[in-house]
Amino acid sequence: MEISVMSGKGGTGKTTVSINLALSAGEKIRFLDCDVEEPDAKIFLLPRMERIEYSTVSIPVIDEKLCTYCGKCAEFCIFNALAVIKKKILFFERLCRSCSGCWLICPERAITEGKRENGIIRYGEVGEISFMEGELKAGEETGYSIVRDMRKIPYKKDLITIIDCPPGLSPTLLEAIDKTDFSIVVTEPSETAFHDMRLSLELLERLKIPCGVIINKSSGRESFIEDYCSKKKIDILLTIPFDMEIACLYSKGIPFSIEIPLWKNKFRDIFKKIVKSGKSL
Amino acid sequence: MKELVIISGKGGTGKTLISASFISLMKDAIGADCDVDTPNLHLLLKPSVISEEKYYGPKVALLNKSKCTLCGKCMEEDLCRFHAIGKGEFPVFNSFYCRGCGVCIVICPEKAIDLVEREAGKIYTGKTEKNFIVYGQLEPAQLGSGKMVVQIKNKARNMALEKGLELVIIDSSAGLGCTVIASLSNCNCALIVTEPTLSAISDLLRIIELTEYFNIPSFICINKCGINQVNEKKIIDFAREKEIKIIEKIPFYKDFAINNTGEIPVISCPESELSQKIINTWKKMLSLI
Repeated sequence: MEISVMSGKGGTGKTTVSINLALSAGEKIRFLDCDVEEPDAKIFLLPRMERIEYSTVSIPVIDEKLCTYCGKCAEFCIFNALAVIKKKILFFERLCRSCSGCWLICPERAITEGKRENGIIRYGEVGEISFMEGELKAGEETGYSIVRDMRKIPYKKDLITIIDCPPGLSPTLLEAIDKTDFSIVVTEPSETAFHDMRLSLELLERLKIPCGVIINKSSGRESFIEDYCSKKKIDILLTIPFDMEIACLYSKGIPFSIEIPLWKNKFRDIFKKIVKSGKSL
Repeated sequence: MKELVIISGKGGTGKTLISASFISLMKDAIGADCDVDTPNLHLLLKPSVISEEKYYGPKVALLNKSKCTLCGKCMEEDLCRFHAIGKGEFPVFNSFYCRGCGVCIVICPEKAIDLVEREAGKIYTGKTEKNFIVYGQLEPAQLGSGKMVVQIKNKARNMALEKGLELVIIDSSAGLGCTVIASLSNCNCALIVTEPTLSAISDLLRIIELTEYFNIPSFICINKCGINQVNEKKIIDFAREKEIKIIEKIPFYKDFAINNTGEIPVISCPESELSQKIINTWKKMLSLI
């Protein structure tokens, strides 16, 4: 079973929920930090990193001995990653989206498929958690291929996976939540987070992914969120109050369920509830 | 005319609040919300929409079933690198995943596939009491967010030139991918809003790699000061090492965090300490652009 944790708006508490859920589960967990632009879960989990792999994307490799500079590849590429100017062919690797079109259409077979690194995947262990994170190189445009690669790594099917997602509703987010069995949307009682929560729930509905909401940084004035969820028949799984102790622990990179046992129980309860609902589907 | 971009790396540090405050403090600026997945600037500034236009993203593939002979070439494993073509009675084209690359079109021997325009969102121009803002809403999970950001920035820039205004303030999205790169490009100056948490610091180091890569003069504003002094010092030390000026430290105001009503403090309660700090940040920023 795979559980994704998303939010739309950044800074509402995706990583907080993901790590506390993983630490409270009471069983072996696979943890995927798929916020490849800014992966931060390791700060809280402190896994022993055991190995890294380079994540790659396909790119054209051009054999200029065969190239006749006909320009068909550049004409084809809607991403503008190729340009042919007189007797010169230029490839802009950061614009390439690895569609394979250029090597399929080249009449001279001067282009073959090659690979280029765009990030890394780190593997680690900590306690009961088997940890994995993707990191996009700075300056790269998109990391959805890294998330796709991470999601494809085989694992024992009885293990439960928790996926810490990127903010926003980008193609990278789509790769992170696609075909997960349950998604938790973390929100907070602000107009902006509420707006982004609604967009997230609409996307999940479209993808037919069962979901629930966690309200973080609660002020006790979130009836607008509760009303919306009850109308949409979406469970509010947990409400975490705004609390200086929790905020300070967060700033130091300490998961608050470790320091405050009451929360460990609460996270364990919702974990069990989600797993149970997943099994009954 | 100058362009100032507000970035952070980590989400939730206060980019939009700072952007909205800065725009409210000006009477001759244009705001551009370049978080096209989850735009929030308009929620704070509450503009009235004066125009909206359709945004067309990359084209998507569409099957003409009457020409399809079910040869199966487009459905072959890994032909569509975006997994947008599923198996069915006929090939199933999922426009949600399609990036419009055209590979299926060249492979189809019957010429049964075409690329069609598709509306992928809207770009709005709004007017507040004193200013204009340009913002967009992209449909979820669409590629082409960078292209939409470029269109929003161009629109904001052209409006500024037309009206003879001095400044465009750009509210970027979180992260450091294509929308952030598009938000940053050609800006005169970047203000990085960070906070004294380990996550924000980790993201700060990465966002500075990006501003260095694009060679954009940058400044830092530390928001939510007081929750962790050790981390504050780390940011100060790091900024010194990178020779980036910290223009302001805004304390963490618990009351504001709890009673966030969606108002902009410099407008709703300009006398408050928080507002005074933001106004100071703004004055310093103005003198540096």
